[in-house]
Amino acid sequence: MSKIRVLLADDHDLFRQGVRRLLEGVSDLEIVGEGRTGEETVRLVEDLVPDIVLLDITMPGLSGIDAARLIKTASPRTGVIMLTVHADEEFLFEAIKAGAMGYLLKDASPDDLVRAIRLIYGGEGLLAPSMAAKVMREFARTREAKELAGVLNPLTVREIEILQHVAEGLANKEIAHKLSISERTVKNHLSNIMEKLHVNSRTQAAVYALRSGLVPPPSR
Amino acid sequence: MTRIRVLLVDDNAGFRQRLARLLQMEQDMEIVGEAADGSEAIARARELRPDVVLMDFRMAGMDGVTAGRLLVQEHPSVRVLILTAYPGALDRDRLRRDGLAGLLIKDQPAAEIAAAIRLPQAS
Repeated sequence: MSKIRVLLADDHDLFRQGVRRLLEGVSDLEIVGEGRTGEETVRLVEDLVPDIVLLDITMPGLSGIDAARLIKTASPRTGVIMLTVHADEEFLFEAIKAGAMGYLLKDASPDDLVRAIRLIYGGEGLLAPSMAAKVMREFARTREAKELAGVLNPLTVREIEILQHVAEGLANKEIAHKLSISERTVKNHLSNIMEKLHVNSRTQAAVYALRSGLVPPPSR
Repeated sequence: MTRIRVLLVDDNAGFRQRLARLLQMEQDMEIVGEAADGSEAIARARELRPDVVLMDFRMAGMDGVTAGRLLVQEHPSVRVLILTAYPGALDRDRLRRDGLAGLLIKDQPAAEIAAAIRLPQAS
């Protein structure tokens, strides 16, 4: 069985070792390398082509956001999950625009981390719900929201409903179950949504919807 | 700027809230109220005097077309747009003869629903 190949990127040795120890016990994951700086991480991605990079936002030298961008350029199919201590909404949107598909706080549980890795590997984006709430508070009903109206009104009510569940952190299968439709149908809706919004990931779509106030922050 | 005043009527609260949020993004209209059935729609229309009423076709109690007809009789300048999931079930010409302004599919993009709200005569 091929394992999900994960690269760890964090300048704090203790944190990196802790995550390594955690993930080593998981049967479908494999740590293929560790980077201590943004530049080192990008080089490792070019060499190793991992499936997933766990990327700390604040490493010395190259910023986490720039590193994410370079990683996606070097290896477009590598999923990038950004890890951060602080819930910083300004970084969230920049991270999503740079191509990160997931964003987790470092105080997430080990289960959350493993789940995030599997979800992103499966092609699904993820938002930490507490982050989503912060983004919503900061950006809802601003001038930017009005600018986004033209971008967002090609959406239908059903599509908003699906984006709401994406913003809550549900996987496609869970959304399908909740709405009593097939997973295929959920995926079709998401394709349509991403096309209408000119974005490349379901996470980007959910962030647009949250920022504009169109989708309320998740209640969790 | 005077905004088009819209009353939203649908028995599904989730649908109502999502549609309201989509339409609130349009700068030239505002959702002035909501109702969950036909008789509530008539009561709220009396209070709020909306310009446009978006009315779900299939509701418990009084259905959307009946409520729409009554609304238009009471407030001839109100435009009532019927919202339905199943367009085939309704006859647009019949609706027009009843004084209703038009028919919208629930699954249409919000931009098209907003356009219909703006038109002086929706089709």
